[in-house]
Amino acid sequence: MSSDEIQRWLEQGYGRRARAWRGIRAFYYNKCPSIFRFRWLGLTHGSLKASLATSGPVVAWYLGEMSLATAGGIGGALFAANALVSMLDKSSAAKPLEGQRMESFVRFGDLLAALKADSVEELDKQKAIRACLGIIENICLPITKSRKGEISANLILYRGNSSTKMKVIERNPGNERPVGREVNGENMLGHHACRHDGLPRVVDDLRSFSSKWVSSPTQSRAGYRSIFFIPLAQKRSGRTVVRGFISIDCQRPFAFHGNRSRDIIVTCEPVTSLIIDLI
Amino acid sequence: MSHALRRPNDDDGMSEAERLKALEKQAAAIREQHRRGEITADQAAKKLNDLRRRHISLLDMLFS
Repeated sequence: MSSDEIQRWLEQGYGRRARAWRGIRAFYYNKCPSIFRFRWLGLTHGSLKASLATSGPVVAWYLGEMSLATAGGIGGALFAANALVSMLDKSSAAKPLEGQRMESFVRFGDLLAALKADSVEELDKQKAIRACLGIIENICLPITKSRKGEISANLILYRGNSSTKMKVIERNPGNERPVGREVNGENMLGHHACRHDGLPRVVDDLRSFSSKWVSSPTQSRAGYRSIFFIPLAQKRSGRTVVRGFISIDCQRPFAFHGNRSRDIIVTCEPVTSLIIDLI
Repeated sequence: MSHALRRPNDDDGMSEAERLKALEKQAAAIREQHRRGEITADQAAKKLNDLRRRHISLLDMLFS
């Protein structure tokens, strides 16, 4: 039986104030670290730009043309304007490869569709699934602005005809977390998402749930804070059966917040479709 | 399933989970159209890009 907090997450029953607070937290976790991340080269570059922008009033004060207070005021205003322009420069920079990037994904989808899952040998299916999870990881890295190793893509399926016992089938290449372990689905948020309505769902911050859900299902300490669940449904004898889910997790909270999860689900669609054929 | 707690996040009346599923289905439909030769790869890429950006917020646009 799901607890109230799980039910609220499944029903997305968050009020207007709670949603606004989540937006603020998403901004803090996704943007502030990059704004305030300390880099020597960045510090030198920023200082030089600020010095150049404020050099006029400083020289005027040195030559006695301006009082210290006036020079300080004008210098401060120029400094603030310079910082604002730098920020807008960065955010308005054209992304010329956006169209080509998506076209390459369309071509890639063509290739995946051409490679029928039936033609893959049983022994090679595991390798094919791992490669697919690696592709999902690499799609998610730039979208979530994460570094290699911060994102993990995992395939977890129901075992046989069981509706609660699950197994970690595969993880992305290079991921050293255990695979092949059987886990109790009742302790997994992804299982509840599958059983509720089988729709994709995002956990913005795992620590907003009680401690039961913060530990990893494989008994290891959960090193991730945000998760994106994509349930996998197959048609069997005319009815749709949820076979399990792909979980994409990130060490940083709110990594899949807002448009990021939408971008990921659109871009990864050919890969998740192939995984459904492979399982 | 209780709908009492469901609050749509946007004007289309869908919950975020429903919107994600709808986007996935639309992406699959675009890919299928391209596979059948009804649209070119360029058109499919444009449609997919539009799909990715359809629900983008002002904050996403400024800070993504």
